[in-house]
Amino acid sequence: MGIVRLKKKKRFKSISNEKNLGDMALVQQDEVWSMRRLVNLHKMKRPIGKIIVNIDLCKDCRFCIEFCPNGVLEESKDVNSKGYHYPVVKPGKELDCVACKMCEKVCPDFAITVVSEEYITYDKYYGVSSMPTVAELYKKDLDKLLRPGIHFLDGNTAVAEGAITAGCRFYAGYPITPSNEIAEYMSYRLPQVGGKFIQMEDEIGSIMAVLGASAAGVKSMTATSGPGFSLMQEEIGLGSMLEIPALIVDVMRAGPSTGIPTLLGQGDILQAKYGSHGDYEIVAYLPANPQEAFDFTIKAINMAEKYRVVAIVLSDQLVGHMYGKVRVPEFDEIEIVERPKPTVPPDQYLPYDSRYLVPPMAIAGTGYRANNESLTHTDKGYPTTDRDASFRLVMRLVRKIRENEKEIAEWEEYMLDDAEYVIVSYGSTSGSVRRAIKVLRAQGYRVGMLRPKTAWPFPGWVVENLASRGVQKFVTVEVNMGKMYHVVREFSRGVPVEHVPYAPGYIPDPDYVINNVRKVIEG
Amino acid sequence: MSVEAEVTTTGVKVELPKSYEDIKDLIRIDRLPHIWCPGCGLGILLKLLARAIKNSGIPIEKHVIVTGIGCTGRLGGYLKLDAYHVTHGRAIPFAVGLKMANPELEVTVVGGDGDILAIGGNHFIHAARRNDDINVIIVNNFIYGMTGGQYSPTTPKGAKTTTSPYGHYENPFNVPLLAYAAGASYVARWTVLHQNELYQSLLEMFKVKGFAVIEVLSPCIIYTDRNAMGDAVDLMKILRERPVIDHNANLADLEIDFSMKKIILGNFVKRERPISYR
Repeated sequence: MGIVRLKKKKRFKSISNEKNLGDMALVQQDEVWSMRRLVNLHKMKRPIGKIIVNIDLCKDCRFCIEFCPNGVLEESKDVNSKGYHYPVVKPGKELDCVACKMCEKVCPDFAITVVSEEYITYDKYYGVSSMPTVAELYKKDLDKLLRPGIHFLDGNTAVAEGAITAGCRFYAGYPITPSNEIAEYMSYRLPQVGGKFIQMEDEIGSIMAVLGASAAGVKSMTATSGPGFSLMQEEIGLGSMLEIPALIVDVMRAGPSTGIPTLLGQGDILQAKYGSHGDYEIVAYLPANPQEAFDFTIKAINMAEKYRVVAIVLSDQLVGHMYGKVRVPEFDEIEIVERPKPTVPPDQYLPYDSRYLVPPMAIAGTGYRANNESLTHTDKGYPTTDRDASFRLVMRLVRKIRENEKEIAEWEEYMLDDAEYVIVSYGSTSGSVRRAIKVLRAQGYRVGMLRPKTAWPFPGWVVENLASRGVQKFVTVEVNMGKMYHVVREFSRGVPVEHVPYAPGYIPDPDYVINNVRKVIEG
Repeated sequence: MSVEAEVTTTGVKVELPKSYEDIKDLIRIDRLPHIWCPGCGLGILLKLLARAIKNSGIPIEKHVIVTGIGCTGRLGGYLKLDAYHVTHGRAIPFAVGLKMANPELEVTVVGGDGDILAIGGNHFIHAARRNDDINVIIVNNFIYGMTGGQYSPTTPKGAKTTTSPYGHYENPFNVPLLAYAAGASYVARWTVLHQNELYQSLLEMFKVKGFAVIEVLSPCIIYTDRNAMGDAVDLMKILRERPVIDHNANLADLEIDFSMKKIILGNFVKRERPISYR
């Protein structure tokens, strides 16, 4: 294996001088996978636009209403002096205008002016208290966290350290290969930082203990692999229904059933979203190396807390056991999201207040005495079969992710600018694909890679844009018999999607990718 | 957007009688009347539990109720506490997580025989083995009531249920013995008729450090109907006449058979074992 890799490396060096490889500097920058800093968005400012409408000029063409990307405007009930309805700012949308001036640009009648003199921070806009960073939150314990700087860790340890950095202080799990390193490491580390560890009797018990601990106000996680993940599916639905933040790390292994515990697969992608019954949404990340395992675990815990959902890190055996460089950012750079807390007194508190997309969460034992109901429930948490209440609840559970998918979703575009053929790949497989693309480019094929970093929400609009830009074919390369293939097809707008199947417990060799992608390209 | 008006099951505005003045703030009055059948014992347990919680000496906001699925699973929803109605059989691990993350909480699991002993049986014995500091109330009505009367792990041999139309072939669990053998710190069995004893037992349960189990025998018309035992009142009569209170009974003798000739009640076990965490 080592010899083969060395050969590939040599070949890569020899072709790297050729012209059609593109900008070499860019390639090398890409090689440093996601060394990007975690930016504290919450401290960023954005302008608030003020839309001034000259009412009597308006002729009710509705352009501004149609084209406003944030849906700020609506038609007035009154009419102007000529009898036309004119645009007004929707009630409650006063702060939503970002001063893009689209309405001003599309108005044919010179009726709209947008001025932007004020600014708003993310914190104020979402009405949340300022998002603290790790440095602010764990002042006393900073010396106990993994110190900032460069470390050499395996993926599973990186996940565990990421979780501890993000504030996770409870772990419940059941031994399963290849996720064991996470449990072992957590049992050693959590007591050092004042956290608690328990090995439960099975995976169902583990995820339930995690949900329970999270309900008591402690950020919690579990780690598992294929068979355990299957057992946890019902409780993913429970976490979604009770809206309890939790993190599940699924170190994917080859399946089906017990499969090959020590080797990798990427077959849990669809199960992560569709595994439990009913309608719900989750957030799932796809790390490709130890650095991302660290970063994405922090992000996953943040997303779980922010949206009160179950977040999943879909690592795989190779990422879990791969050693690599992990850069831990300075503590004042890592933002930490805490779940929304109720501000009203207990007698006015509604545990599932549908006026919010993500209602504030009362912690057990703080006096709110909330009924947390796994049956379909009203705002107050009482079981219901009422049509409106049921529909409203399910709509909200789904909307809180779907409406924010563009903020959550992340992806990497690798040599896509002029690509005619797009390989969609993720996780550890993307490393092979990267090498294959370099070779294929050298041979004259204009190939690029789209690497979703979040499996869910899936960045479908990126695929749509590529399809409408004239991409000839999409090729999915993953270690399964076609999972993300179906998702890409959903968004491909009729552009053919082909799958390169591979599921022997290893990632495909670059040669395998090259030969099969070439076959697909040449038809 | 206005908050939705609360709809009670009947749409009638309900007020508690004055005798329940003391637990008025613990019962969700706007949800009454509750969903349980006429003749069900759960309503009795509900008010006893509310009283016990009120007088437990532990602040009310530190009490948490976790329930699974089934008739008994609905009990938590009527208590004005931090209540979690979770999935079938998984109330105990959820409670373990709650208690571990915040040891100040007084976590009580209420579940039926099917919920805790069948689908949740593994969690039950392991929580007892670890001696997790939670309270478990098993409401034993000998049958799966909500799903229409299938046999449960405590259905006596010979009983007719929808899934044992010729009489049940299997042996039932002896719950106190099971709990003791698995490692529980406190084991008691009462019926919903023995209210003073059950009430004292509930108060005791809150004080116990460790895994506390109370088995509460409760009548169920789904069970009595199938077995030509009359209605729930007739089973209540049996529970009034037959039981013998013996705190020092041999745990192996506690099995309840179909004839229900021998029902032994009592506070059987109270012992000190190290709990799983501090």
